[in-house]
Order: sequence, then structure tokens, then C-alpha cells
Amino acid sequence: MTRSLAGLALSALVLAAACHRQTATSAEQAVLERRREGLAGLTAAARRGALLPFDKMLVVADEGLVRQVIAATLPFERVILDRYRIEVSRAEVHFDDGFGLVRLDGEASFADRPDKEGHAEVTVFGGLDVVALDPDSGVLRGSVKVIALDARRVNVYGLRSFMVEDLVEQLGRERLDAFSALASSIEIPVRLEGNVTLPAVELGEVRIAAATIPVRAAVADVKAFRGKLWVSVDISAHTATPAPPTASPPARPAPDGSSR
Amino acid sequence: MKPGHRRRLVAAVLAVAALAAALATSGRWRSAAERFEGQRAQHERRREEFAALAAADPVVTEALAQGGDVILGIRPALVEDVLREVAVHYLDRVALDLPLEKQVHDTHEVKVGTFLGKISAGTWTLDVTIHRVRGVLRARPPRVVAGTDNTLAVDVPVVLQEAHGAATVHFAWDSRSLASVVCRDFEARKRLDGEVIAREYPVSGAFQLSAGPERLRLEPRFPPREFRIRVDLTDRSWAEVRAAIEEQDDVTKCGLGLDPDKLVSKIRERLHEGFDVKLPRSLFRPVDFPAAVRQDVTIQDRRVDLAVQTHALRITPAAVWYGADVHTRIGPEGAATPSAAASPVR
Repeated sequence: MTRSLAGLALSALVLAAACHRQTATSAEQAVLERRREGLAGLTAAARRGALLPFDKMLVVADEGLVRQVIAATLPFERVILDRYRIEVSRAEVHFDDGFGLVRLDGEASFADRPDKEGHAEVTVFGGLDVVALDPDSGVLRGSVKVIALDARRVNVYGLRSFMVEDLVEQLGRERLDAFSALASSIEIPVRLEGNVTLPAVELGEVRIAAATIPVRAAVADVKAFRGKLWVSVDISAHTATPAPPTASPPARPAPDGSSR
Repeated sequence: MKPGHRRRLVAAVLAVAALAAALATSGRWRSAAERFEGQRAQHERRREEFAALAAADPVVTEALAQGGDVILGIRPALVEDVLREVAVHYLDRVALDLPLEKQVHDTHEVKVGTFLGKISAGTWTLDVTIHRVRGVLRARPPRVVAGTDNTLAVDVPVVLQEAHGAATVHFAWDSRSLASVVCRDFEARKRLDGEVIAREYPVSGAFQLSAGPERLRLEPRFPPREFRIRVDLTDRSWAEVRAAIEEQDDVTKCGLGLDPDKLVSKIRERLHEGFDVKLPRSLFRPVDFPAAVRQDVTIQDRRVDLAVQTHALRITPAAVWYGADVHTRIGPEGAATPSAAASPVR
């Protein structure tokens, strides 16, 4: 009997290890899949000679800067779905292979129980999905879509906890977009003004009335490679049709390498 | 079968089943892992292919050469677009009021034929003082090309139109020799209205690109230069001039030597030669480019203050490049400034 139970336990361990490897692999697979798609798009665009549409303006942001900015907000805690408390303590950002990857690492626990009762390690993988100009502020903003979650159990004092097992299992079952609150948007510190303002001149010899020249701007294309986010912006200054800067349509790094 | 034996059998069957399931899962995982590794290796090869393509892209290489955490690349066409709009909508009605006190001076000896041959009848002297010119200056679309030392060379044609001013015309006749027997000297001084002949003036200069902590600025660099303004009198003023000369066109005065038509034509010719004025330097103003690197961002409802420092500023034929180093400002508490309470998200 003892031998049989030991065998059962061993089998369960092998199964559990295999399951965790699957979770981690699924996340890595999801990231690799996005990278493969992104890289195919980039390569196709480069072969067409249209890697970077640059008719008017190009904004290039380094992944190190975005990582630094997110890191300045760490650690932060969010309660997801009223059930999980997640504290994010580490962030990584990679702009490569046509894909803006945001990776957040932290710990998850049940929101209604003290953290000391047990927690799981979690990694959230997000893709910078849409980059657009905020219509009010003109700030360049990207939104992050969660593409994978990896939850791993942590043994307390070397002992396995059924509560943590349960936590990992439940986290793995949740919809990915439930975790989007962890990294919903990222601001790139670039602002495009809604107009060019020229002051009035009253200097005796010369009098010029003040002028405000509206500027129209919209993100035309976004690509991620070489550790940078490359944002092509269509911008023009025209007084014929005054209008504030527009943020639409937002652009996203797309599988074919062009943006929408 | 005894109950003890049955329990052992059930436990053994369960253990074997679990082990089989685990091994099957493990086997599937192994094959998935192998496939994953294959995909990863293929991806690495494709990355190398793309790296070679990207390295050959002139925009990529030029942008990366600037350095900085944030790089703004602006095509000359956009700068030209902005400067054109500035010229068209800001410099389209520049009101000028130039206190000139400019003088035009001319003198001419008049010879007349007599039975004694040609003799000097006298000398007329013309002094025109243009007291001030009020007018409207209008700029036409400029031409912009990349210059040296981070400048954009600008050629902007400006038209001085609807300009008029007050002028004083002083005309003096100094009769000589025989003519003075019958001709008396005379002087005429008239306060008249003048007008500037509309003309396009090519103004050349440059905008020096400078980078402040946040934004790009175009500073005007237009060297002082004189422009020739050609003036004329109003029809009414010409009529007054003519009347003054004709008044002298009398045998008892100077009709002997003065031909009013010739003289008016001469004065007109001299005024049309014009005089030089300097356009005020305040005409051109700095232009802030409508793109800026911000000194804060908001992430997860928290404001993060940033220190922005210019890394590079360069103009190439392809673009204006501005690179900035950006660092987070960490306060004494080592945390970002919350701009809103971080609340649980559901």
C-alpha cells in the first residue's frame, strides 16, 4: 500500500512538473509566435523598401527608457477580478522582431487571504498593441494587450500548499484580458502640439497680429526592432481647416509589418 | 478477492494510470519542446536576415547614429511646411511704420540755345525728404534648404504693398549769367503725399535650429540688409509739382530754360531710383516646432517626472535629427509621484 501511494505521489509530481513546463512553454510559445509574425512583417516591409515610412516625422523611443519609466512605478499592486492580489516588482521591455514586449514579474495571492498564507510567482507577457496620439494632450500613448500569463507555485518552508496549487490553477484558468489592468497603457514622452503659436509684435516700426496655426497629426505606422519603437507620424500645419491634433486612426504593429 | 487485496489492486492500477498519463504528457511536451526549439532556431536565422536588411536602410542607420533615448526625425518638407504656413498666415499682413527721413537729392544744369550759342540758363536743385512710410508687408511662400551648422537657409520673397508716406519736395532754381537778366531765382517747397511702388524683395537668411530642454526652436538669423524702396508721388501731388513749375514757366521768370514736362519727368525718374531702407529685424520671430519631449509621463495612474537633456541636434539633407537623453527623476522617497490614487482594478 505504501509503495502504491508513493508511486501515485511520484506520478502526480511528474504530472505537475509537466503541467508547469506546459504553462511556461505556452507563454514562451505565445511570445515566440508574436515575434515570428512581427519579424515576417518587418522582413517583408524591408524587402519592399518600405521598412520605415518617413514622409514627415519619425519618433524613435528606446526600450531602456520605457523600461526605466515603468520601473519607476514599481512595485505596484492591483487587485484583479476582486480575487487576486498581484504585486508587480520587476519589468522588462523589449522592442524587437516587430513586437513590443512588456514583461511584468511579481507575486499573486488570493485577495481575501494574507499573503503569508502562500503566493504564486506570476509573469505577465504583454504586447504593445496600439500606438496613438491622445486627442486632448497630443501625447504618444501605447496600449498593452496581455498575450500570456505564467503562474508558478512557491512552496512555503519547503512544503507544498494546496492553497497555492489552487491559486496557480485558478490563475491559469482566467481570461488573459482580466490582467490587462497590470499594464494597460504606456506613455512615450513625446507630445505633438495642436498648433504653432506666434505672439503678436508691437514694436513701433512693426506690428504683426498673433497667429495660431493648427497642426494635424496622426500616427501612421509603428514598428519595433533594434531595441527601439519606431513611430511614423503624419503631421501637417494648415490653417485652411483648423482642427485639433487627431489621434485616429491608431496604429499598431501588424503582422504584415505595416500599421493600421 | 479479499478487500485488502482489492484496495492494493485499485491503488496499483491508479498509480500505473497516473504514471502513464504523466509519461504521455511528458512525451507530448518533449515533442512540443523540440518543435519549439526548432521554431526558435529558425527565428534566430530570420533575425539575422532582417538585421542585414535593416542595416542597409539609410533612415535606420541615420536615426541610430544620433543616439539618445528619444529621437525625433523631421523631414525638411515638414519644416518647410511649417515655415510656409508661418509666412503665409503670420507674415501676410505685417504693418510697417518706418520713420525714415530719407532724402533724395539731385541737381542739374540747364543749357539753352541762344543767338550767342548754348549758354547755361541755370541750375535746378531737387531735394525730396520722405518723412515716413507706412505700409503692409506680405511674405510669399519661402524656399527652405538645409544649411551648415544646424541652420535652414530660407529665401522668402516679401512684397511691400499699400505703402504710402509724407514727403517734402524742395525745388530751387538758381539762374546764371545772361539768363539771370530775365530769370529770377525761385524756390518752391511743398508738403506732398508719396507712395511706395509695390515690389517684391527677396529676403535671404536662415533659421538656426536650437534645442531647448523639451523642444526644437527655429531662431531667425537674418543679417541686416538694405532694400531699395522706390517711391512715387500721388497724382494729386504731381499735379501740385507741375503747377509750381508751370508757374515759373514764364518769360519773365524762367520759362526760358524750364520745360515742365522734362522737369517733372526728371523728378519722377529720380524718385523711382529710390533709396535704401533696412527691414526691421523684429519682422522674423522664433518658431517653436510643434513636437516636444515631455518632462513627465503617466504610467499606472502615477506621474513619473523625467529629466530631459539634449543629446544630439543635426541637420542632414534627409532630416532634422534631435536626440534627447531622458532619465527618470527619482525623488528622495525613491518613488514616482502618484497623480491619482492607485485603486484596485476589477
